[in-house]
Amino acid sequence: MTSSPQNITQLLVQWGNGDKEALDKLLPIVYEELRRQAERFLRRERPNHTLQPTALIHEAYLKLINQEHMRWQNRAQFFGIAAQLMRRILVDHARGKQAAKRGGEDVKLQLDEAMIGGRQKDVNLVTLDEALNRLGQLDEQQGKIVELRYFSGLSIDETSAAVSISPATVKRDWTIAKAWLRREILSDE
Amino acid sequence: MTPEDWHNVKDLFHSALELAPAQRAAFLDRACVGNEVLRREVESLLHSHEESESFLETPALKNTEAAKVVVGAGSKLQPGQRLGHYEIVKLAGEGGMGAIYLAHDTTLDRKVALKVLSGTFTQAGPASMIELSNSTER
Repeated sequence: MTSSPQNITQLLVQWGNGDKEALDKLLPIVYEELRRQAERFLRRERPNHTLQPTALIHEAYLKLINQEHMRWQNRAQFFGIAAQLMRRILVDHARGKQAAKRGGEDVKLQLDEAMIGGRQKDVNLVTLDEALNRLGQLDEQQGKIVELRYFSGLSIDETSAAVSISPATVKRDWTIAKAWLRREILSDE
Repeated sequence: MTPEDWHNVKDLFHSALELAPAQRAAFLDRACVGNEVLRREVESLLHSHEESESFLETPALKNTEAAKVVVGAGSKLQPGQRLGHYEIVKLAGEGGMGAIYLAHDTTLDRKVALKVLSGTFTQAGPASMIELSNSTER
C-alpha cells in the first residue's frame, strides 16, 4: 500500500465524496501513524507529562498530510477518522479485559482495568460505547460530537469546525448528550 | 423514542435549563400537558444534567495507560489467551492485517491453525477469526 502524503490527501477527498473503500484504506495508515506517535510519547515520557489526544492526532496529521493541498474540511475529516480509531482501539481493549475477567483469570489484577480515563470518576468504556451507539441512532450528530470531544479531545470550537455547525449548537448538543449518556450508563450498571 | 420525540425532548430540555430551577416544574406542566412520558424524560435528563458537569470532560486518551493501549493495539495474542473456544498456543506467523496462531480447539480437543484479523481495521469490530486447517498435532 502506498501511503505518500498525496495519496492520503486523495483518499480523504474520496472519502469525503462518499467513497467507503477510501476509508478502509485510510484506517490502517492513520492507525499506524497514531501508534508511532504514541510510542514516541512513551519514550519521552516524564512525570507530570500528560498526553493530549489532540496533540497526538495533530502530529500524525502533520506527518501524513500534504499541507499545501489540504483544505480545512480535510483536516476535520482526519480528526473524525482518528476519533473513530481511538474509540475502537480503547473499547476493544476494555472489552478484551472484561472477557479475560469473566474467564476468571487474575481477577484481582483485572479489577478496574476496563476503565480508562482521567482523575475524574472512571468511565466503563464498554458500557459507554454501547450507550453511544444508541445515542448515534437517536441523533447522529450528537454521537459524532461525543466521539470527537471524548475520543479525539477536540474543544467545542474545534468540534464546531469539524462538524460545520455553530459552537453554540455543539455546546447544547454536548450538554444534553452528556446528561443522556450518564443516565444510560448508570441504569446499565 | 423516535428522532421526532427526541427533537421535542431536546427543545424542552434547553428551554427549561434557561429558566431558574424553581420555575422549571411549572414550565414543564404547561409544555407537557397530556404527555406524561415526555415530561418524565425531560425531568430525568435535567436531573442527570445536575450530576454530569465533569462527566466525559477529560478525554479518554489523557494518560500514559491509554498511550500504551494505542501502541499495543496491533500487538499479539498471548499464549493461553482464549478466543471463543480456541486457546492460543503460540504465534505461528504474521502479515498484512492479521496473524496466524497455533491454537487449541477446546470443544473438539485438537490443534488448529487460526488466522486472526485485527478487529481495529474491520467494520465488524472485535477480532474476527478464520480456522485455516486442523494441523498435524493432535
